[in-house]
Amino acid sequence: MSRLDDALREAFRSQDPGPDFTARVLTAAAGARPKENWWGAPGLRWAMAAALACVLLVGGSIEYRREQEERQGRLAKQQLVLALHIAGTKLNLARDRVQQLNAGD
Amino acid sequence: MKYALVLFFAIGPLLAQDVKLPADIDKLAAKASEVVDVSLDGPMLRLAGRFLSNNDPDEAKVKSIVGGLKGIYVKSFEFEKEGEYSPSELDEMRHQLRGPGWSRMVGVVSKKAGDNTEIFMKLDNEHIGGLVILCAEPKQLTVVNIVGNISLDDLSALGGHFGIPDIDTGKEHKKATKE
Repeated sequence: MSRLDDALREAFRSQDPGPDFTARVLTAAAGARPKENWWGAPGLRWAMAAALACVLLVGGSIEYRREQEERQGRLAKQQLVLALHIAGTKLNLARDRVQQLNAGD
Repeated sequence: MKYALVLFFAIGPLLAQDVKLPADIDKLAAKASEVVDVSLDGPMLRLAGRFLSNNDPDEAKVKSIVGGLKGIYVKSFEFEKEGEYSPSELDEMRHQLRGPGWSRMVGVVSKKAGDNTEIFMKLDNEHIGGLVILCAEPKQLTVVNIVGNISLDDLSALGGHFGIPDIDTGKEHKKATKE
């Protein structure tokens, strides 16, 4: 075998960690606390969720009202155009009748 | 005071409309093949005006005209056959239009075509404050009520916009006669 095999075998050779290994691991695990972020507090998390929900609700409501208003406005514009068209047509009819009468004279 | 305010807001739109359309006229809708019912009060006209573009010359002109109006009310019934409505349907409205301020500017009865067109105007200090058109044709009955400050030039300006035909207001009379 090569020298590389020997080196690997030496590196992976099992070693005895010592009699207090288990105790050392348990002591270290008990002392280690998970790192807490400022946003990790449960109360704050709920408050943030509620605030986000409020923002979404208000934003959605504003958008809905804007869309409703736009729909109403476009409908009103169509009705306005139709009303003016009918008014113009009927005025034109009256004008034509008057002109016919004048032409008859 | 509270009741006065409630009363004001309740009858406000009715006062703005000034001339009331006959209550029974809506019954004609059952017999009509086509019905047009447009009711735009001041706030709705302002809302519609916001959707008229300033960049489009036609729309901009209409926008300026609409600015002086307080309401537009149109009812038009089209029937499949003649004789579906009584000529007296509009008598109630004609009676209202005999009131102070109103003048019957045009009244044309065409026996040949069988139609009767009347135009009433309300004058407020030499300005036209309202216009009512009653048009009874054999198969169509139309009532137009325009409330607000409009001038004959404004009416003339409506011609050609959105396919609205030209309206002769005297100034264009020669041109119209030539045509």
